[in-house]
Amino acid sequence: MSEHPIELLLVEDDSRDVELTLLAFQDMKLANNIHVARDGAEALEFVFATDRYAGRDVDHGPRVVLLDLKLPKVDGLEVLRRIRSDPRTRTLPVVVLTSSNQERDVTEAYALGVNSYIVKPVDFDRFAQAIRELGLYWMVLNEPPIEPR
Amino acid sequence: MTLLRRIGLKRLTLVVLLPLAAFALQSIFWAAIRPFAWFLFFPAVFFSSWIGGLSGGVIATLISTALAWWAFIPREYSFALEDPVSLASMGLFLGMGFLFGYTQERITKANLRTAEALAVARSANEQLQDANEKIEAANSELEAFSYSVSHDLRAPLRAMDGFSKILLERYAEGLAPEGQRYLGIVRDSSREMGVMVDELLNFSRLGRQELERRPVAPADVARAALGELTANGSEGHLEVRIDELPACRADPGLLKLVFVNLLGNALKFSRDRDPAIIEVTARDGEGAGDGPVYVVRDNGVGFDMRYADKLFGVFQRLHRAEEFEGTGVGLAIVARIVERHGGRIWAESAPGAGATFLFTLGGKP
Repeated sequence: MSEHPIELLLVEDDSRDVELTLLAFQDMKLANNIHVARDGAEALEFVFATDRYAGRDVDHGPRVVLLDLKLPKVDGLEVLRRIRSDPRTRTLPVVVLTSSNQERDVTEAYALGVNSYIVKPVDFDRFAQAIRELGLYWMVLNEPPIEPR
Repeated sequence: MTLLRRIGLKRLTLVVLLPLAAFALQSIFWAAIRPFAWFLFFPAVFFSSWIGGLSGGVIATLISTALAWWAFIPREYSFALEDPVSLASMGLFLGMGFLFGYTQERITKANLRTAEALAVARSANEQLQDANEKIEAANSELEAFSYSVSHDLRAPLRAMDGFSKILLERYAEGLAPEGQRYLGIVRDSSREMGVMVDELLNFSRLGRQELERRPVAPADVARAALGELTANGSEGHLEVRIDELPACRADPGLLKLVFVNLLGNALKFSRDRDPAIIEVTARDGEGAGDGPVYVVRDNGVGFDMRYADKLFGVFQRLHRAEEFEGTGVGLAIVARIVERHGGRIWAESAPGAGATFLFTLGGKP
């Protein structure tokens, strides 16, 4: 058990976007509860507590996963599919946070049961605003599913 | 020998053998068949025609006639003809034989033509399928391209904007005012490029989107577009006239985009006028099947007709960015929508004299 329980899993391969997202969260004092996975495979290992994260307790999962779609190794939609098809994580809130506003991606993400789909704005002010609202909503306001995962 | 070439040796042999076989069978069972002299020669001629067409039919008919005449006509085993009925039956058989042959020949030829036509159609179909596959491949390539543009170009832009902002916020003390201004330019530029990337994507998406033609009232569409554009009410003295426009069949969403862009331009380039006057009218088309011509006119700054050919290109601008904002995609979008409807668009203007944009949407109202 780490000192700070992981409340948010950020799945993002672009190091600049990781840093900007963490900077946006810093203002909210939530940055310590964030774990970053840099590709789809690592995200799955974290969520299901395998390989590199074998010691982690699956039941103390994050309250929400922020998922980019274009990822190395396993892409975001595949990560979403696997999370949704496992009974332990079926109800885990997942928010797609991506640069792509392709209709195809939006449609498929919702078909796979994503909780929310957010297109990252190029404008940093709006990006930071979106991140803060996201954090506030999913980590503070939203009541997570209680059933055992 | 031409005969042999026409029918082929195998078929010719069969054509000759069939009447002979009929003769042999009929000779054996003559006691039972008598007095029907032509009895087994009918099927012989029929099948010979089937195999050899007209020439096969004629050959079999002639052989059959000779054999039946000699062997089975009342005075057997002689070529005598005592009975007029026999003569008539022989004439009938000959006529029927030729007819069989002729009919078979025609059927065969018709079948051949059908087969040829089918082969042509099949190869055309295959070519079409090939072309379709190529188009699909090109399309999916384009989609992949625009996908990576939308995803990969935005990330670095966001980083440019984001880190400039953080630099400005947290390290402003260490930065001279001029340095801060430069960083502001970096931010503005990255955001501008973000807008351009989005507009370029919208533009490329227009080319692939399905057209949904429906009967629409263009005046309503124009009014809705104007309502959107003037929602924040920042205009000065503005006079807008939208006539009752003839109905047409068009994609309502795309037609609205046309008016949003044309009226947006009209508003933008006439904002220094007092009053700014914008008119949306229509007149009869010149060409057949052209449909009505819709006209959007303003009394703004206009443009030099020498540059009219650049008007509808992507990222083409006729004014400096400091004078009038914009990325230069609007009219390219308008032109593409109009073209996809099968219509035309053109413009008339002179510097300082306002601009008139005219377009048709093709098809009948």
